[in-house]
Amino acid sequence: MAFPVRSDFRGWKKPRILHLLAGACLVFCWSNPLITFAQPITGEQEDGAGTRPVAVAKAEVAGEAVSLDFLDTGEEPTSLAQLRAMQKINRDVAEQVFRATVNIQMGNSQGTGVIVSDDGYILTAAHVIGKPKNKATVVLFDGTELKATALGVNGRLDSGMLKIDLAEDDDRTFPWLDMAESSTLPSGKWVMAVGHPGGLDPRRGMVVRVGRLLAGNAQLMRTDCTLVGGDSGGPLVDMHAGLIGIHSRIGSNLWENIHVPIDVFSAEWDQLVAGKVISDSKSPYLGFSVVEETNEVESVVNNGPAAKAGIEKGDRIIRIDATEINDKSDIGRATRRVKIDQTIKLTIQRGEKELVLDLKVEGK
Amino acid sequence: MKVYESRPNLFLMTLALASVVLLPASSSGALGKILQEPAKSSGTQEDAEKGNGATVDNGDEATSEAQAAVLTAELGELARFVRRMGRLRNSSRLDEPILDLVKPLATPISPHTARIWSDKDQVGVGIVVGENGQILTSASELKNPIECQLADGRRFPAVVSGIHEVTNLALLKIDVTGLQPLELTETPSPDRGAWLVSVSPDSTPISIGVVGVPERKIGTNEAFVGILPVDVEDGHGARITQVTANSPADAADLMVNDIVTYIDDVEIIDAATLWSTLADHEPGDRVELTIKRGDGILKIGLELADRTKVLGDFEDMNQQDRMGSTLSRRRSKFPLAFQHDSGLSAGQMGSPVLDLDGKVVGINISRSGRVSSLALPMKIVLPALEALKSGSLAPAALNHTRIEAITVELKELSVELAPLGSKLQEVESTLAVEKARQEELKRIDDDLNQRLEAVTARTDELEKSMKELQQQVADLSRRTRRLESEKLLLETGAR
Repeated sequence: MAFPVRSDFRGWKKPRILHLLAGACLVFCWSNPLITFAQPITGEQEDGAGTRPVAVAKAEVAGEAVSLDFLDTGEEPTSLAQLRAMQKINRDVAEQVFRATVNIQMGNSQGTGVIVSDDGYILTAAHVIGKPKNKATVVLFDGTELKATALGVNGRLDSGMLKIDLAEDDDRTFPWLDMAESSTLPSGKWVMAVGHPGGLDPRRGMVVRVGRLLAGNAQLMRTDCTLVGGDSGGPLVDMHAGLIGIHSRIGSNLWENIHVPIDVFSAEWDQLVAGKVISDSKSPYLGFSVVEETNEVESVVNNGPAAKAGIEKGDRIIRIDATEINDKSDIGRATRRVKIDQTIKLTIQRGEKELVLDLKVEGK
Repeated sequence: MKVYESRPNLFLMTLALASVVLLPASSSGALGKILQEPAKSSGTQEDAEKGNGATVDNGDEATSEAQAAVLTAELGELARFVRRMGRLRNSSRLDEPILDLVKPLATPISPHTARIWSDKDQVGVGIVVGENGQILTSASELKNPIECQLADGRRFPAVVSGIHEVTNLALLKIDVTGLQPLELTETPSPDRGAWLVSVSPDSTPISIGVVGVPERKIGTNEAFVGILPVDVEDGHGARITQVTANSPADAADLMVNDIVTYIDDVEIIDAATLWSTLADHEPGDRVELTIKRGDGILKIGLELADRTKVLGDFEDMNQQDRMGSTLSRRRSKFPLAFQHDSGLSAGQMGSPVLDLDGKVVGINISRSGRVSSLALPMKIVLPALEALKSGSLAPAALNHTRIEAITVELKELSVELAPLGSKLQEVESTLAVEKARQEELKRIDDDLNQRLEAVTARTDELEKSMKELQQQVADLSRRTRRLESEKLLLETGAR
């Protein structure tokens, strides 16, 4: 089970989302071949303006030169001196990443984003910004609030872009991060995650986490950086402050979280800038949830497909089409192949009565 | 915490098998060579070693034996390949080599720690702070009966000898002497990005992590009004665009399009100043809002609420925070704490936190969320420990005032109770006497009733007999009179 990493904005009510199908989708993604990237990053970077200020190959700890190759090769440090050297890099890189990281507020939701150009292009997760032309407020690292407009999204991969709204004559520039490459990263590579877990907290500020790349493919990367709602869209960086991913989803295991590889953004850059919907993320959704390990309806989303079908809290779902339902996992199995706009038959028990209701699946 | 170690990965195993089986001609391994040239195939010495010490005989007569040996070697290599793939895929921050690297830092500390048990659950990690059995730990998870298990394995029942409410630290006492206390000293609070090692009686550290947020005050939950403000297009203030049901704003009848211009005496210039002003408040605070409604100016007082208490449906976030995590009961209100990402569980609180120089820089106090473990810096721990050791925070000392008040009240009650007691006794004995009399009278009453009944029956009977006799008398009289008159008639012949 995985949830979009997003948090309610200041506690404003957001309809509860039924994640049944999102979970199924994720399982599907995970069962794709997990290609382990074999080649270490080369160290030669494209030379962009003000790109990689933290150039580390060796560091000096207490007057002693320490090799830092392990940071990029995905190996473990072999001495405490190396670990101490990494600690210093964590500190410096966090400082730098913070300056380019923004909190994104849209309607009742919040997420994180990262500025990747001095004129204010921001990368984030598609589910943070919804669709092109949506208006958002972004809060910079120093608390400055600015308006921004959503550009392109790829809902399937969960990549999205915004642009800070600037008047014609406004030539302000913003601190930004360089987009590195994500296709050549070795598993085990040391990475850092930054974001606003739980949403903007002025008394706390941004939170940094450190972890390693567990696995990845062209569409997603998994790390053991801990993430939670509100981090969505935030930057995953290497130890040179190079942007390698954008936080997307969390796993049920604390130590397995999912990021969109940065190459996805690079490859679709022009479409994102042009404000295109590259692929739709809508997945079929039923609009009810059941009590843990039972078939009893726990809640029904207002005006959702289940509500429209007449399902009520307390109903017991006996069958969906021909599949017997005992618990949530049965529902997942029964609805795995349903499509948006398809109608399914739910046999339910309400008190003594047994009813058959038609539910038209919607997209969400 | 070897999270990924040796978890079978069916997919990778399949992939590995497939790569060997499908690509026999490639350089994917000796198995391929066997398939091509079974007779000549030979495992290298290295292969043989890897294959659990199987040796390879190259002799012509021993072809099948050699094949078997090579196959064994090949399978061994395959198994290792699968393991390596597993490791490759799963190289995590908490891998054994990294924990091994920081083990020497934990070695001098862990003998001074203890496990705190409550029944079968580990509810904390303790630090030995006194040679006579004083153990420092986290308070909020403690439940009687409590036991402390020292690093040497000895287990003792423990009593709470003090609770420092502000920091959530507790001092336990076990009945033992001659312990080696851990000397705690003031150390600087770690910076953002600093690596931390959390230690328990185990020789391997519980976890390692990084400071995500340097020390700060951890307040209560967010003070909540229940309005969604936007900037006012012209002029100052924040215009309300939504009022949340059942919120303080709702209760105080704030309305959409009201413009908030002041909170107490702080001028609200825009939505941002409204948020930042609220951020300085805590739930329960009373504030007065100055509101522009139409042409009028109103002053509306309200009490700020705890956001999570108003919005019961905030489960989405709560659920995420709890996913894959056991959170502490107390997760807020600490005077100072630094936040790290070690992902400890509630039962590991109280454990000492070391920096990469092996210095104790804090004590874990709360797993407050999915991504957040909180630790108290030593400058907060030391004064709390001193107060705990002084005995002033012992439950009896802590509740001293209340205990005294209750004692006085008890005395007053006993004074009132004394005369009431004898009076009660008197009433009781009188009541007993009266009850006996009542019984007696009831018995007499019953007896009389019975006699009355008997007499009544007799009376009825006599009355009946009397009536019968009277009838007989009447009948006989009538007969007498008739006979007499007949006799007279006959005698006189008066007809």
